[in-house]
Amino acid sequence: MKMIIAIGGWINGHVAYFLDLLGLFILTLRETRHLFNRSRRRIFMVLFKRQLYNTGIKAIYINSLIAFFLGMIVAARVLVYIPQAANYANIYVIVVVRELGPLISGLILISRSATAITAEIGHLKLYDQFDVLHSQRVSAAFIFLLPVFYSFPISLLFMFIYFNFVTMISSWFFLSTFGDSSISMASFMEAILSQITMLEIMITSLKAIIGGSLIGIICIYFGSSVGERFTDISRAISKSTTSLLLMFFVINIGLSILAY
Amino acid sequence: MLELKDIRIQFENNIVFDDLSHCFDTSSITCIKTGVLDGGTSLLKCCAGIIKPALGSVSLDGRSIENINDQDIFNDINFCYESGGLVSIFTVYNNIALPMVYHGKYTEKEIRQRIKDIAKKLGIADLLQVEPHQLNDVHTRLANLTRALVISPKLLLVDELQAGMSPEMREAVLEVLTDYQKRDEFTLIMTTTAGDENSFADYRYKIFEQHLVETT
Repeated sequence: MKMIIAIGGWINGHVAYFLDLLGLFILTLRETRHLFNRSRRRIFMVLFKRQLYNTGIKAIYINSLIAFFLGMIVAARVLVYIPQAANYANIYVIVVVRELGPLISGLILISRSATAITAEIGHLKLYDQFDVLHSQRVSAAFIFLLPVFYSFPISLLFMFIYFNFVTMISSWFFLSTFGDSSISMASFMEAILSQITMLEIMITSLKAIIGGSLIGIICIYFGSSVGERFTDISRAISKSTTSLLLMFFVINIGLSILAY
Repeated sequence: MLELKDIRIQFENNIVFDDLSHCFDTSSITCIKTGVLDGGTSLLKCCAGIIKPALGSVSLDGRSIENINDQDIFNDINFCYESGGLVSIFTVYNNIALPMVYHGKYTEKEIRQRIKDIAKKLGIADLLQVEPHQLNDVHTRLANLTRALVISPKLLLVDELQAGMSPEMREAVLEVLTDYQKRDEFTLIMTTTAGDENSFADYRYKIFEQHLVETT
């Protein structure tokens, strides 16, 4: 009997969680109507650009470092089995463009930006600052949710592209230094780019749009669930990160299985 | 005119006001003396529509607060917090300007000028570009007041403005506030504590046994 109650409670909790996320998604769409108002659109653009900068531009260095080392490692491993650099392209697209690039970029977004947003929203909730906006009849969802919802997918897409580009450069560098030195960077990149089909572009874009939007909604959901205790913030960050990692892996692997 | 009718304000089992009915005259100044945890802030927040009464109704010029749309509430009613009242990720200037830009109340140039003028009169012009965590309590309340005076609502609710001020500062700030009140003819309701000045008020009350009792 206790097990049935526990299972029921678990299911109930998860159903409520998904319904809450759906509600937040609908709220986001509803708040989008404010963008038709010129003065509100101005506020949105300031916050949106700030978010893009924090999420995308400021992540360039960590993105570059990880992409650089990943390119080296993949090239090093592949070189053992495929000495000819020109044959490397297919492996590169399958491993990096389809899977590792999106996954690692998503992990960077989650660990850097989503956790920061959860902490920020949690702090605002803890100190009743949403009440302050409510007292001025300013929509908190418009100020905090909308910029994140729209900037995260765009940032993620650009991170994918940038990550793949840096990995390509570092792989070519490794292969031309330790393997086949006859291949130029231009022909190496052309070999890889010619392997990228419309399907890869579509699936990568979907991973960015769906993954990025959900990362934005989920991190804000957990931030706004903070109660009256300071420790609620760290708890929210922990739960948020766990949910985000699970969600992002499921989406990436799910889309890859469906498409490829 | 602000009218409270059969108001009950309750938090779980704690009833702070019960069966409270009162009218605040248009363009009048009312000071309500409060003690600790007697519901002064809750009363003001109820008048502002920030919290709902458990029973009863609040009306402004005959319209129930619950039925007034957000734009009109913003234009007509403003609440100044005793502590906080500012969003920590924005500067003081942006905290003041944001609601006005959001509601399209004035042009950016007008907003900038109004904020500059009032901040200068209240002595916080140098603090407009700092963040809320860099302000002390008094300056935080003055930032709240600056925002309210820039908006210039019909009803202004100010929670314990004078706490922590020196006598000179108190006199200067109250002079600015009453000058604006006379000029814009808004209704001002302010909570005060022991030692605060209230001689400028038209009506003076204190909170006693869940009601407002008139004092001299």
